[in-house]
Amino acid sequence: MTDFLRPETPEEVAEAIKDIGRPIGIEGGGGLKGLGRTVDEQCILKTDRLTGVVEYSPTELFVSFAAGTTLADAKAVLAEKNQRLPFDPPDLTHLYGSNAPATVGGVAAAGLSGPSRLASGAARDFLIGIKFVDGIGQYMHGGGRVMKNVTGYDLCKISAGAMGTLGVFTEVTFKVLPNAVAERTLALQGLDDFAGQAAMSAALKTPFEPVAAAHLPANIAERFEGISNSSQTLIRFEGFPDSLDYRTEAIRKHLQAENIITYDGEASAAIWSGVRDILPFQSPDDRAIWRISTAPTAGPDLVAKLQGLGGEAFYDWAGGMIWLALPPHLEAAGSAEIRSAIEFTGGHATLMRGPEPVRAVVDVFQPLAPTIMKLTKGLKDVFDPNGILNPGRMYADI
Amino acid sequence: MVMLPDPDPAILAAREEIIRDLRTIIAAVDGVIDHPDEIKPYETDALTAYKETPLAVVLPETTDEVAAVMAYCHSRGVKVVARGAGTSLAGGALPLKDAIVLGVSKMTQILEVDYDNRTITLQPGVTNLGVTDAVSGDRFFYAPDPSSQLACTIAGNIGMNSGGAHCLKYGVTSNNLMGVELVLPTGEIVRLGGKHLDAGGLDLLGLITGSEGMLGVVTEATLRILHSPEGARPILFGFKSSRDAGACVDAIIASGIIPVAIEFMDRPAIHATEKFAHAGYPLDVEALLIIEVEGSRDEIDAMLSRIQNIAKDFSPAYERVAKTSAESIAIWKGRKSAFGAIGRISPDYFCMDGTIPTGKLPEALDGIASICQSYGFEVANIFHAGDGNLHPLILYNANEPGETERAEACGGDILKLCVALGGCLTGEHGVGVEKRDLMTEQFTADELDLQRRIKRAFDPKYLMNPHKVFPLEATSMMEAAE
Repeated sequence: MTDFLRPETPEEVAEAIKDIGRPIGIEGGGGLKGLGRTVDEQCILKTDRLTGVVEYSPTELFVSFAAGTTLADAKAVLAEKNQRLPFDPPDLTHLYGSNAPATVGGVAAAGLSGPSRLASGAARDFLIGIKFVDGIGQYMHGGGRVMKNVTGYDLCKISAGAMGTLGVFTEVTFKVLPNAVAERTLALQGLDDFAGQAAMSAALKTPFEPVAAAHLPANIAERFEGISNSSQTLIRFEGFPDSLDYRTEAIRKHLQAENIITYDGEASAAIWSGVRDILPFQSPDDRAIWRISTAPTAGPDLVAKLQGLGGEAFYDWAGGMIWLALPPHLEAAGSAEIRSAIEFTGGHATLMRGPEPVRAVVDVFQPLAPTIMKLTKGLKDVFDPNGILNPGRMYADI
Repeated sequence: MVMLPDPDPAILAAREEIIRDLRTIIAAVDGVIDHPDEIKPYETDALTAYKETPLAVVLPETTDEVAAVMAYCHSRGVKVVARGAGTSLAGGALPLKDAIVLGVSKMTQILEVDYDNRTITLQPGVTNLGVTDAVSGDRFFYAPDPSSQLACTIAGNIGMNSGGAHCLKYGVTSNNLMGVELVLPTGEIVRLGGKHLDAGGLDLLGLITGSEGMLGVVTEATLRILHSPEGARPILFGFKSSRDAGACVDAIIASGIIPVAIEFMDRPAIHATEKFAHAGYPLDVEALLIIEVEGSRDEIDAMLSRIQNIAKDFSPAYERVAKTSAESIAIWKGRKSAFGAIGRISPDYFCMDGTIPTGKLPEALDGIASICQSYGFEVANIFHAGDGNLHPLILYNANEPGETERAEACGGDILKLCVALGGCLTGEHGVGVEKRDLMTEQFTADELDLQRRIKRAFDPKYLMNPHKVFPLEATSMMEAAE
């Protein structure tokens, strides 16, 4: 039996952690439960009752939410003022077959960023303030509400993506930006992975500022509604309409590609939300899903090396983010082959979804060099000296 | 004045031996400096009110030399102060009597430029402008642009997480740093990040950026470079009140326009710079805004006219659009020479660096005026209006007895005001020694203790820049408890 604690205030979170005296799982809505190593949790603290806007100042470009606020609610609040979270956080809870909503605390803790990460930055770049409870029940803060802040060490960055192993977020503050006035996507048709990646790099080596670039091989592209049946190299632009006209025309000339389709407004947005939320891999739901970050030009090579595993892949971040789905029942979900391929290209791979028994024995997150593991353990001891916050979720002793 | 810790007499007594040992590590004959005349330039940085003579200065050329020096200092218990170009306004490179200074001025190689992945990999002694110079022939640039960019190094930029005028659009150092090779205080070498985005484990790269030379020495950096925009031009506005200027900035941002830069100057700053730079700034206004946008000629024209339309509601008393690059340079000339101009009208000045929520600008300016009045100092304000980073320049004369101390106290009160308004002590200069004793304004004792323990995880003997960032008293209490 798992006990659930659902505190309603930061003070209650602090009290709960102070008194718990045993390992405790930390979650927001619980939708990302399947992300991370398999751990035996007898007690779970949920932050889903810490909800709502704490402070929102649109002209000062920041918003503070209680950590359990759902991502959908957060986006709705910002949309009222025509603003957004610039790192375009994905909602991946569907990958885990969960109906639980994504929360802003979960997005920050998992450090999840969408296609806009290429140009705008990541969750870690926009998380400018946190309030959290550490492993001995101390309620503390890092960062603040201003976007330029170098006062002391950057606790926001070290906590973003730490999977709740360093502290329990009670409040997260993000820098926000205005919505784009308009958007347009150019889709180059029929390029193979290598040519598609080269086109994306070429587009980024111009002054025309694409905000996102993804390549969908034909078998992936056909799962998107309203897209033609060949591979799609997608290059997205945002701005005022006159500027979009100019930039997309300039890029067309620059790339000298013959077969380009244009998607405007909602059609463009729909494609990118599919890329962002990994909709092509939604079913079948028994496949292992890997997320691999590497140098953009290394992307197609890496995928080619892994072809023997019999999976399928598509690329975001101009080729630097590979989403790879592998057939079920592969030995260790293909972990050995993926890790050794990355040795050559550099980067890191995360098993985003995999069977529980596999996640209990393989490294879900990128294995760390011994010295970096030593630093990581040292930091874990600083934040959580008794090792009770999400122990083992990220690495065996973290 | 901020106190420095008492030096360790045993280390001072062993100076000759330590220098001898360092000479066996460093290959170049001029790589270890111990002559008093040659050490002099390293005794201070751009916070010139403080000076200290270190044991010696070491200038390694390779990662292996840095690692060997760090391992030696770790085992011998010698403190280390890392130094880029010494342009810190916060005393970030201020040495200690019983420390060596480890300078990166001989590590200036560009190792690789990779346009397809938009990265440059280099040794950390390359200057900020040197990065852009290395790629500008191919119309690329490195975005963070601190005012000291001609001199300051990437090592120092990483240490202080430097910003600049254009970070409203492009972000600060941490948003543009992809990877480092880092020598830990123990002499171990680690690689964090690379040409790929984000971290595989904890974001140690994010943690060491802005850690003020307290967690390790960067020996190689991979930076994101971007293609230059087709063009960039500013518009200059003068307003009858700083409130109008602030409201105009809010309205521009609310409309969905994020310019590359929005710079604000108040009346004293306008007058001082105009006298010096003759940029043609209006003298009968209380506030001046320089707003820059980028793009093609038509895009810039369209964007500037949108901004002009918005500004109309705030009745600007003066308006000047740059139509050519010469006119752009003229508009920026005053702003870029502002610090030099203040240096002309006052024997000394402290450049403060708080951040406030942008909407609090009028309150902050009123508060700063009354604080400075109560101390009897003149003040000029320069403000990165888009991101809330405020630089009040307190004018004083160090030759008047007691005036430096009073100017420091005045600056302290201003920074306390920034924190009280919901901002922070430092937006881009760092804490250094300058703001060390103010940290308790922004952090509780438990929070400071947590941060010091983070340092311990990297630097178990607390040898790197041990006199910076955290109030000394608390640090020594922690030492005693160990």
